[in-house]
Amino acid sequence: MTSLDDYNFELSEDDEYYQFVEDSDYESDYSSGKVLKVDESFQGSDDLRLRYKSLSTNELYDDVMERVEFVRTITQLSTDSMIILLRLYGWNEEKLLEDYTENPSEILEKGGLIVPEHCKKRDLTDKPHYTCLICCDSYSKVPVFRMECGHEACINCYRTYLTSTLKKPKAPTCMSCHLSITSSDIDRIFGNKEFSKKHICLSFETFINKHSKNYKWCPYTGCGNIIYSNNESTLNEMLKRHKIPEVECSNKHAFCFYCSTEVHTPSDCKIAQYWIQKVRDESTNLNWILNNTKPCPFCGTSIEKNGGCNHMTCQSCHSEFCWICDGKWAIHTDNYVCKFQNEKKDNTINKSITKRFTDGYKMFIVHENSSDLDLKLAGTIESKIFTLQKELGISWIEGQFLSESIKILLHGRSVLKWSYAIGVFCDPSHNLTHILEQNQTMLSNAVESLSLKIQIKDPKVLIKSKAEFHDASSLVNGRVVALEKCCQELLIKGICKLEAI
Amino acid sequence: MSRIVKEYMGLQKRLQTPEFSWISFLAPVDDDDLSEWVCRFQGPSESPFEGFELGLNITIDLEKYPISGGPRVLFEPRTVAHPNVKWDTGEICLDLLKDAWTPIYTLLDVVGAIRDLLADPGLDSPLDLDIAQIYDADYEAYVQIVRYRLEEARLARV
Ligand SMILES: [Zn+2]
Ligand SMILES: [Zn+2]
Ligand SMILES: [Zn+2]
Ligand SMILES: [Zn+2]
Ligand SMILES: [Zn+2]
Ligand SMILES: [Zn+2]
Repeated sequence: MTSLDDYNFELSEDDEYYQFVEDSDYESDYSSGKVLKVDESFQGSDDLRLRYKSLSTNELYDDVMERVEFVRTITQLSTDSMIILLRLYGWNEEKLLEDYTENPSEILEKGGLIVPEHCKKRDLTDKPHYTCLICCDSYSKVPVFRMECGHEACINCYRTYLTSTLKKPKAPTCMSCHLSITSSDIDRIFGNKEFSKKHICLSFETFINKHSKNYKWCPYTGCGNIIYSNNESTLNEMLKRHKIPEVECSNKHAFCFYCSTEVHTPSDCKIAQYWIQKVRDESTNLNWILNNTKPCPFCGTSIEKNGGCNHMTCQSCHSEFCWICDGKWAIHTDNYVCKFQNEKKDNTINKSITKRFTDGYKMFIVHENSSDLDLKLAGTIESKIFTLQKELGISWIEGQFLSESIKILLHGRSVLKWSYAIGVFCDPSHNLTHILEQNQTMLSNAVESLSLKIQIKDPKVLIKSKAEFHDASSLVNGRVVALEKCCQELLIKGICKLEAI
Repeated sequence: MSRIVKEYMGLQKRLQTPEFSWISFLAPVDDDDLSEWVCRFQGPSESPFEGFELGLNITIDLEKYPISGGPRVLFEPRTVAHPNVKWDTGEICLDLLKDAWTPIYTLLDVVGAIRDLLADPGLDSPLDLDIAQIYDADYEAYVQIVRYRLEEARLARV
């Protein structure tokens, strides 16, 4: 189990930043189905923004070189030597400077930078009739790289050798002793600057690990961008106020800077991190829910879920039912009383935290899985737009409402998903917790109805439904805002409190 | 001519010098394929391995050797009880076979380093924790286990 003490930010018991009105200000209108109003004073807290910049590996290289130059002014060493020592120290500048000040010659020795005296300087020269001791090939003429230690090898051996040492965190050394090979040497051996740069860039993995407070890899697979931020006071303030330090890399990938995961609004980082760990532990037990086929509850025909929508229609008996609870969809439409949530309501108060987790987790996974399916569907949206353009002579801009709707749908699902993490830790007897559940239900309905629209296959029907798409999308947007505010308030008021499961 | 061919050509001559008299056999399994080798050598004197002959199986990646990587060396499985050797597989934990490998080393250097390791185990990186503990706590018992197991392996070979 994760220790709750692992979080390095403290949540103050009573937050002075907010003044609250009484709970009775909530319009707990359970029947009208409109967005429930939440305390207006929560709107003003959006002023906090994390300052950051998105860097490519190349840009990080420039940044790192700047730091190298800065450290160099203290040690008075060459840039080459500085890079070697920093790599030796896994880019931990403070530790290096501390050790170096104490005993410079020992550190230089460790870095393979003490060159034997009165020796021929290292050079790369053509040698005639040469037999290389490493590869044992004989050449009529070949460039040979020789170090002060007297060890030498042909240029082909050195190029192969330096390529094979690329992934090592430490700078490469002479093949026969521990004298370091510098970036300038590497540049000479390869005849360009690209290779030494590659050597250094590959050691950034350790650089970023050492500076993980300020540098984060974009968590999207294959992206490789880095976010830099040294705006620690704002970060801490945001965490304290349960705000998510959301950042976006130059490839438009949004993620939480503190957690290095997807944006988990409306959950705060503390709950999100605990939740992710818990879900990871739990995920093997719940394969059933990720299954995308199940028999129709009314006729038994196998039904495949091919979009994110949980409103199912059986192709065989035409029954409409809910994917989550297997109940008739008709009972959902009026006021969305999903049997699953209904059961939940009956004994919410006496329910143990473990049971609350299992329920919340189920909903979390259902919507995560639905997002994946929606996303897959989104892939076909592009071709739909293309068809629209061709068949109906519709401009690209005209077709944009579809991608816009997908974006809103995915955001809606994400907020809904993470709100279940909040729900698990809420005081079940509190009125605001009931309001949360109502808000979840309403967002859920809005999301499902938008998701259903996206499954329309006929492009002509699609384009005719533009207005409906617009309405469904703004409904989702509105309910997202309401749910987010509700969650924010639950967190700030301490009604939602992390407790170990 | 590749490096391993050169090593191979000079090998038999070097094995006859007194410096390598402790190696009884070091050759490729098949003369036409220099990627699989076997070695038999005498355990170092003044060590529990004295008086026993030990066997090594050596694999060389001809594409990589010697610049991008050294040989892969295993003791014959279930013969050597030693803190840095995995009993079941014969796997050896030796820096020269891993990070410390550089193209300057030859097969003879590798076999020599393995022999040195038998006499002088590296206790900071044990592969066999039980043996390492016995070595540390009760050297006499360690010697007995090593010799008992080698004896068993010898009997099994006959
Ligand atoms: Zn060479
Ligand atoms: Zn050297
Ligand atoms: Zn990215
Ligand atoms: Zn976070
Ligand atoms: Zn059916
Ligand atoms: Zn349902």
